[in-house]
Amino acid sequence: MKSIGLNSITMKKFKYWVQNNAILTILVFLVILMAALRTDTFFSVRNLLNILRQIAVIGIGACGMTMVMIGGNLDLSIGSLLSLCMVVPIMLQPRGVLFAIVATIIVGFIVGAINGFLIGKLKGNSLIITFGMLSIIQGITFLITGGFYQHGDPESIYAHIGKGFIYKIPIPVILFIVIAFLSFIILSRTVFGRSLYITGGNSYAALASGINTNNIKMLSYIMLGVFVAIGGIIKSSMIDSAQPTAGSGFEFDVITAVVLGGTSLLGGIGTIWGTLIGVILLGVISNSMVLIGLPFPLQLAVKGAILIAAVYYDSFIRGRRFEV
Amino acid sequence: MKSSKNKFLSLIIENRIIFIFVIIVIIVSMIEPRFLHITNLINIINQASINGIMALSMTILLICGYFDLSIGAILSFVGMLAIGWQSTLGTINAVLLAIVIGTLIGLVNGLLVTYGKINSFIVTLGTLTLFKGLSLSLNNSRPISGSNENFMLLGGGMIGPIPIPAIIFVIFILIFLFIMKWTNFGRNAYAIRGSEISAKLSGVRINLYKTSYFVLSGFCASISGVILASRLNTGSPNFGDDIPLLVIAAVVLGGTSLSGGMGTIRGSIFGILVIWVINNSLDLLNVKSYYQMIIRGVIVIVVVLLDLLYENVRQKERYKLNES
Amino acid sequence: MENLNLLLEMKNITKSFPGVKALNDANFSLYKGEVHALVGENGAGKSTLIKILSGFYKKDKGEILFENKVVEISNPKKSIELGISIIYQEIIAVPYISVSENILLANRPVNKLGIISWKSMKDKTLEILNQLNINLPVDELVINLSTAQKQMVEIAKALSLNSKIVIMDEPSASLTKDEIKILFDIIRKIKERGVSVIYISHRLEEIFEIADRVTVLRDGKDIISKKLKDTNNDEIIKYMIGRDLENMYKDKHLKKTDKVILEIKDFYKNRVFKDINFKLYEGEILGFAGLVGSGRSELVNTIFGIIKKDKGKIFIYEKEKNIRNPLDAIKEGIGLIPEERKSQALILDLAVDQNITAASLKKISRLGFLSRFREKQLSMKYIKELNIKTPKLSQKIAFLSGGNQQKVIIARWLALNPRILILDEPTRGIDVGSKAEIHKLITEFANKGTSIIMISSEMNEVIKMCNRILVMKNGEIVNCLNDEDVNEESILRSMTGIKNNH
Repeated sequence: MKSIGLNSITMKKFKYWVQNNAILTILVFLVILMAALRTDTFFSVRNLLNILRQIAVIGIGACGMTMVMIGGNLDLSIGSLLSLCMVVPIMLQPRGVLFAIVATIIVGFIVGAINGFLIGKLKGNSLIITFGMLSIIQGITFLITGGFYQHGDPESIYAHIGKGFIYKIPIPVILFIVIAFLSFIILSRTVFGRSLYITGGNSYAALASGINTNNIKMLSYIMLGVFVAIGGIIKSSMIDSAQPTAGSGFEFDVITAVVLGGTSLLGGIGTIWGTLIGVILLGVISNSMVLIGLPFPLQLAVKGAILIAAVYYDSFIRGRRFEV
Repeated sequence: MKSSKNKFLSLIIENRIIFIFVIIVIIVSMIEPRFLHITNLINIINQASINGIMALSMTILLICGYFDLSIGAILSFVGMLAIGWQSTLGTINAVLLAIVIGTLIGLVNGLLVTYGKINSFIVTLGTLTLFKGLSLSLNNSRPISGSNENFMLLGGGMIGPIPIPAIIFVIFILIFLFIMKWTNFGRNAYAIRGSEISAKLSGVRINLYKTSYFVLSGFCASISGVILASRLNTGSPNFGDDIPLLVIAAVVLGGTSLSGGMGTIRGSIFGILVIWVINNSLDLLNVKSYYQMIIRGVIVIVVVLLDLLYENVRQKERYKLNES
Repeated sequence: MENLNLLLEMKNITKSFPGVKALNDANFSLYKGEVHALVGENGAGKSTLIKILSGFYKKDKGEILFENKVVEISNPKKSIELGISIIYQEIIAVPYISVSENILLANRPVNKLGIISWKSMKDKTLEILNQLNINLPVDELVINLSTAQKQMVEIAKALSLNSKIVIMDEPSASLTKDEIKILFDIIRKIKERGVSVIYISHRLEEIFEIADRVTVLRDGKDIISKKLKDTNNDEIIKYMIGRDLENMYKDKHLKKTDKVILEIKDFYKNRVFKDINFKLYEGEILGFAGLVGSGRSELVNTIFGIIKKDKGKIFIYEKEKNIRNPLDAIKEGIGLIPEERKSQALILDLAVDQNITAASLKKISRLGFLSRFREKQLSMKYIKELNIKTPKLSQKIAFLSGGNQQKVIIARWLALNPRILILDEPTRGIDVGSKAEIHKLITEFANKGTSIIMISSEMNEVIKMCNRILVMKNGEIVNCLNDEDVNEESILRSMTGIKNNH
């Protein structure tokens, strides 16, 4: 007696395709637009390399954020974490590059673990808790730097990380590709990754299937923490310095890129591939705005509008409501 | 039904913030006698007044289950506009126009949350970033100094022994107490979060009310912004940085649960007093501002976790009561 | 003469949902000032009928006459405007405001300036309550009231709207005997005022006490409408069942050993269930019948470790087991197919094969890495075995029909080879064809040795499938029916309050 028939199912599929590929379409369109407007500046090797390096840091953070969001949470503290993870390696760098790197990653790990504990095990509201952590980490960053700009040594091996090349590809980009690939494998091929999708998609079903949702969430925060730490190492190495406020706005860019790439605020949906596209798209747009000479407030306005549009898209069109 | 002993106990628990306030004041005045100096007390009252106005509107929003993170950015932006336009528009016009703009920002927030159905945290985070950026660009990230000495009367003047900001705060308190008890506008906030379906079925115009609560929030932030700018005769893009976090913490501390549906004006007032007494005592004890940042974040997290704990206890209590 | 008093007439109402015809040419009439009981088994169409009356659903065909005029009830507001109010089973009162504010939620008395007059509100509320003879602490916050009192608030609110028709959906479900007396007094009072009441209940003895007429619905159609003084219990039950008892399809699974695989002792959870004791035999299909709200779902969720119990012990093959969470239950070989497919079982964004393997991640992985091959293998196996219709393995499960979705969930648990499988309303909302398939599957598993607990609110299903049936009511097991005694009548009797001894 079924009268639903094929029509509505085909409609649903079409809608899905459009939603998932709209971003790709916009990206291609934009690149063509850029080519038409400012061929010389945009496509110069120098500019492209610049874009790639900027994208690398945001992209590495976005890989981690994708995991956290798929699990159904958010992390607003990564901006201050990035600052901290820039300051720490620069300050420790004279004592040995390896030491500095390892220490920074440990810092990222610990912060992620704390977030994961408060949110995963204690079930705190992820938005407010990470918002609070933002303040705490910022305070710590200011504390250890005394509020001062930290200078690195442009001659040391450390500086090589951000500015060096391997086979003509900037090292940050290689690291980004490696981490993106790793994240891709984790999300699509491991038990942890699958558990993350299930937890974010339907936490009751996850629990009923024997998945320890608390631990899964905690692990996702730890991964994000470690990734942001790596991002901090790269960025501080790129500019041989670290300002205690260097990371402000980072979480904003990362979340925009991730949502743009199709990951839902409600959890359960998202791919590294999509995040990659979102990161590139955001990078291209940011870069073009600078090249065109758009005043800073307008740049922020555009980025804010993009975030709101992406979230609206997610909330309304996909019918997903993200309730706090 | 509850016995009178139980009623007394629950009355104390409900108003626990008042006891916390008294205890903290006692402790602080014992540790640091300078606390009780008139100048210091006036200082606290001024700060509490400025932030308290925003806490009042935040209380309504939290009762409804919404957040407004943009109040700090609105405060800064409006303050800068009020000062910056003094010479061109005249002080009074500048102030009025600035307040109107701040209120309109609240309207935008409200529309996006209510009709766009986007999570309030995200919307106001976007607005926050946007207007923080705009504030920074107004004078190259630098504060603007005011030219009109008379303007300082608003924030710095006194009527008798009482500072004007405090008088304004008291007026707002009276208005809010009135709204929350005697008007449909205020009472519906409880209904909307408590049982939205009940409200809808009864014909309450939910969308209208939700939007207006955000408009009110924008308005209060604007007033606070003007008072602060007048007190210091300066408008700065950084004034609002810690405010949303602290105001939310104060309101939650005062008994408005994050789970929504309940909360009182008097609770929020004492919550603000507690937070700013703590702030002040940290200053008196010469705690470095970076430690303060950390402490602030810790306070927020602790307040949130305590609220969760309290919610758990409340649920258990309800089960017990139902047995009678 | 009678027509002047005819308040409501619903003629030839038909309403269909995907795959299911809820109302099939149903008729219902209501006189002014009468209490009219509406009875029928679950799925008979009662709830659909009143949802159409209250504006939540739109009828497909048919006509509604209100006060002899044709009306279109297109939304809840229209229904309220006509004077129809409804009291739901679920409490929807606003918790942190007072009783009086709840009752007058959209009608707070305000003066010209828009200022609320609390005194007026209190007075008006007391007036309403006095008229109904209800005693409530008007200034108390609703959240502090007992469930029965909360129900009274809902009733008072519905009645304060000067309604002409009040629909009550299972109002006595959570009330004590004394409170039911008060409810009936209220009903009699409003009857005097000329208000009509549509009273839905399974408790026949109550209906005989309070109602004037009764209409029996079955399979979406009204079977009979009679004055209660002209009928009796047995007749009503016969009309509810209506089928030739001998022709009842008994595809019964007969195998059952004497070994006790699961024993539940003294399960208790405050306000949810108490005194729960029962045994599950190896290879049997044990049914749990009862009404919505009887605590069956909560009980099995507690056995499975999702909800914490206050007291009680679980024994598997006579060894006591401590099940604190679903993982423990799974380790003991227990599987649970939850009641709410969409919100509790389906992971809508994932594909069919991903849904099937959701609980078997360890099985299809090695050293933490998933094996696509094993995943495909496992899902293909069950797609074939259960005849799941899907164009490909990677099809998003959201696009499958309800019946196939349920099969996927069943597959999820079969993949773990459980020795005890609990099914909570396994065929709810599924079309007839898939229903039959799933029944066949369940019987097959039982034949292969899995012990099954099946919760169902559908009489047919429970009788057809189960060896034994436990009937639950208000959180307790009120009856246990064995093979021979299993028939619709005895089940209905248990549910409607006429007790049999175990």
